[in-house]
Amino acid sequence: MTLTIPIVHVVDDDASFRKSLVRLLRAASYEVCEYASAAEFLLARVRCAPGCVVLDIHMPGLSGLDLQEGLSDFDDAHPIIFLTGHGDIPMSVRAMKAGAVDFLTKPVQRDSLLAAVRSAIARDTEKRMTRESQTLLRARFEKLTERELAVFTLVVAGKLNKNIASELGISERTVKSHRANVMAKLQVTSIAGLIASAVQLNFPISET
Amino acid sequence: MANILRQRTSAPSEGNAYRGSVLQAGRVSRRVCNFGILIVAFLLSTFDIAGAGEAKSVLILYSNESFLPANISLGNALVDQMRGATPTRVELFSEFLDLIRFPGDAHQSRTADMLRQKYSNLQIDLLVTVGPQALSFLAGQRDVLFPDVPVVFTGVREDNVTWRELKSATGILMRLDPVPTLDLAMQLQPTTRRVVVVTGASGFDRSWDALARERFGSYEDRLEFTYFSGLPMQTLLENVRGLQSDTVVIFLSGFTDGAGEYFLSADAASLVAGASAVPVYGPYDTYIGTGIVGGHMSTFDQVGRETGRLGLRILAGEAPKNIAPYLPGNGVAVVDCRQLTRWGLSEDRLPPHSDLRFRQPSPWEEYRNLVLSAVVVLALQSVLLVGLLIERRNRVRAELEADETRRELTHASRLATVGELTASIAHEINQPLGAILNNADAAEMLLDSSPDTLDEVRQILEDIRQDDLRASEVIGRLRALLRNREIEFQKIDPHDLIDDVLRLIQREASRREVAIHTTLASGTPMVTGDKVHLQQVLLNLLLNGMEAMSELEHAKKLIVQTRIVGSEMEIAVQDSGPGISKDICARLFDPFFTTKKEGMGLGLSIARTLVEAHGGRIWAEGESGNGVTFRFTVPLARQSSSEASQSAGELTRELTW
Repeated sequence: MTLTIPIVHVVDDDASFRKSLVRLLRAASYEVCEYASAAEFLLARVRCAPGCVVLDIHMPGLSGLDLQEGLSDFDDAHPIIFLTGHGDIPMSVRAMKAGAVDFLTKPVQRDSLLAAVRSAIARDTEKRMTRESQTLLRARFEKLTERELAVFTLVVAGKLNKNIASELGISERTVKSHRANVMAKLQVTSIAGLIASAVQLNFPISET
Repeated sequence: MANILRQRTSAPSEGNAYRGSVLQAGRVSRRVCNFGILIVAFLLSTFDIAGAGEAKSVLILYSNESFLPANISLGNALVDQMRGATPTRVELFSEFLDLIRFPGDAHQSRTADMLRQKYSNLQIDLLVTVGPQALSFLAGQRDVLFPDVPVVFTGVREDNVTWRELKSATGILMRLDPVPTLDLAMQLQPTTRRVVVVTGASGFDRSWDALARERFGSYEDRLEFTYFSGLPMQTLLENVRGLQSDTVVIFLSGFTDGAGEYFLSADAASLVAGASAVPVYGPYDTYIGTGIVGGHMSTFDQVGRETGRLGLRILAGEAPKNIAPYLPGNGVAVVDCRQLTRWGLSEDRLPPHSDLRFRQPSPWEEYRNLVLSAVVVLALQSVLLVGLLIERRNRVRAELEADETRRELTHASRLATVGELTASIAHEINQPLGAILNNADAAEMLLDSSPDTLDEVRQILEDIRQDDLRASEVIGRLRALLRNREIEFQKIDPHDLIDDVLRLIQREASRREVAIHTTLASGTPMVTGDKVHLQQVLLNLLLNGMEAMSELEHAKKLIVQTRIVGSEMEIAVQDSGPGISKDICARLFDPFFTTKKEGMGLGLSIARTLVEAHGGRIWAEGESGNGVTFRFTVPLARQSSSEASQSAGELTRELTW
C-alpha cells in the first residue's frame, strides 16, 4: 500500500478568490493545486493521489455541475465540495444527488470549509485504501487452485471438514491440508479472517 | 275702447279659463285627442241618461247699450257663470235696450214689438234684467212678451218698487251708498275739510245726488260739502280745477251734463279726474282706471257672477218666489295704485282686503324673472368656471401623478432588471467577500503557525483591501441603478457608460454563454443625459437580446455599436437571435406588450419613455431569422471645435467572454 499526500484541487475562475482559498488551504497544511477552469482541471488528469475538489459552480465554459457530471464516469474521481457565490436549492439538490460531499456558499466559514475538506479527504483516502486492499486480496484469491477454491467455498458456507470431505469425495485430511493452503495463500490465520476476505470480495456465502 | 279692454282683462272669468283649456287641449297630440273624443262622447251620453234635459234659453235684457263698461263687466261674469257651472246647455240671448238714451213709450213699444217678433218662436226659460230700466220695461211688457217666464233682475236698488210688484221674480239688489266711498277718502286723506260731490243731470244721476245729500248729512258737522249737480261739463271741469288742497271729490255718476250732453259715466269720471286739482273718488269699479283714486263698491264682476248663480238656481227648478232678492255681499275698497302714488297717499291707510288695481310692481317684482335668470346664468357660469378650474387643477395633478407613476414604473422595471441579475450580482459580491474571509482566515492561521510569514500576511492584507474595494464597487453600481429619482442631465462619456453596463452584465453574459462585441465610435464624444437612466436603457436592451437568444443552439452574440449621426449619438444593440417580424417591431415599445412568457411588457416601454425624455428616439429593426437590432439616439453634448474635428474613423474593441 503506497502512502501519498492528499491534494486539494481548487477550481475557480475568480483569480482573487482562488488565490485566497489556496492560501487558506495551504495555511491548513494541505497540498493545493489550482485551476482557473473545469477544462484546465480535466486536462491535468489528476487521479492517483487521494484528495478532493473544491469547485465553483458559475464558471465560463463548463460549469461546476458539468464537471461533476463528467467526473462521474471515473471510478477514482475525487469527492467534490461545491463552493458558489450564489446557489439555489435545485442547484444544491442536483449537486448532492450526483454525489457531492458538501455544498457551501461564499463567503464560507473557515471551519465549515476545512471540515468539509477533511471529511472529503478522509473519505477519499479510505475509498482508495479499500480499493487497494481489494485489489491485493483479489490477486491472492486468484492464486487458489480449483480444489482449494471449492474447499474455501464450503468452509465459508459453514460446512464441517467431514461434510466437505464427503461432498468432494476426498478424505478429511486432504480437506484440512487444502484449507491450510487457502489460509496461507490468502494470508489469514483464522476461519473468521477467511470469512472476512470472502465478504470483502463479495463472495457468495450460501446458507446450506 | 281702452276701458273695455281693461275691464275684460281685469275681470278674470271662468269662461276664459274654459276657453283656455279648450285651446290647450287643441295643442295636445292626436292620440290624446282621440282619447278625449271618446271621453266627451261618454260624458254626453251620461248627460242624456241623467235627463239633463234640453238646452235652456236665457234672455238677458240690458238697460243700456252694449259697450257700457258696467254692462260688459257684469254681462261677462253673468254669462261665464251660467255657461260654466252647469252640465245643462244654456243658450244665452242678450238684448241691449238702450232705454236711457231713448226714453219714452215709443221706444219701449218698438222694443217690445221687436222682442216679440224675435223671440216668438223661442221658448225662453229665464229672463234676466240688468239695471232698473230693463226691469221697469219688463214689468210693463211682461204679460205681452213673456207672461210666465221667471225673472231674475240685477243692478236694481233696494228701494226700487218695481221688483216688489213683479210676480215670479227675484234678483240681486244693488245698494247705492256713497258713504263707504267717502269713508275711504277720509281714511286715505284724514286732513280733508271739504268734500265736493259730483253728479250729472240724468234721472239716475239725480237719484245719486239725492242719496248723497241724505247720507252725508251726518258728516256735515265735520266736513264742508259742496254739490256739483247737473253742471255743464265745461263748468264742472273749471270748478274742480280750482279746488283747494284740503278737498276731495266724490264722483257719483254723470250720464248727462247740464248742457244735455250724454256721457258714459266712466268717461265723465275720467274728465273730472283729469281736471281735478285734488283726488277724485267714485263708487263704481268701472271708474277705476279713469284717474280716480278709488271707491268702495260691489264690483260689476261680483254682481254678474251672483246674478248668474241665482239664474242657475231658477233654471234648476227653484221657484223665484221662494228666493227673496238679496244683496251680492259686502263691497270692498278698490283703489288705483297709480293714483295713490300720484297723490302721495299711503297704501298703509287702506282697509284690510282692499282690492289694489294697477299696482306698479316694484323693480324686484317687475324684473324678478329677469334678475333670477341672470342670477341663475351667473351662478351657472360661476359653477362652470369653478368646474373648469377644478378640472384644470385635476389635470395638472394627474400629469404630476403620471410623472410620478412613470418614475415608479421605471424604478420597478429597474428592480425587475436587477431581479433578473440577482444570481450574477450575488456571485459578484460574494466573490470578493469570500476572498476577504479566506485571506483573513489564512493570515490568522499563518500567524498562529510561524512568525516567519509576515511578508505573506502583508500580501494577504493588500489582497483583502483590493477585494473589499471590489465588493463596494459592485454595491455602488447596484445602488446607482436602483435609486428612484428624476432625470438629472449631465455630460456623459457614453463609452464609459457602456463599460459600466457591460461590467455589470458580464457575469450574466457568461452565465448565458453570450459573447459581447463592442464597436465604438472614435474619439471621446460626450452626450447629454442621465447616466443611470441611459444605463437602464442599455441594460434592458442587452438583457432583452440575451433573452432572445436563450433557445439558440449556435453561438450567441451581442454587438454593441455606437456611431455619430448628425448631432446625435446612436447606440445599437444587435442580437443573433431568431428575429421578429416587422409588425411586432412596431409594437414592441407599447406598454404591456411582451413576447416573453414571464415578461411584464414594461422594459421597452420604459426604455422609450427614458430615451424620449432625453430628446432621443428608440426603435427596433429586424426580420425573422436575422436577429433584432435596437437603436436609440442621445443628443451629443456641445463640443469644442478641436474635439469636433477629430477623425470619424471607428475603433473596434472586442470583448469576448
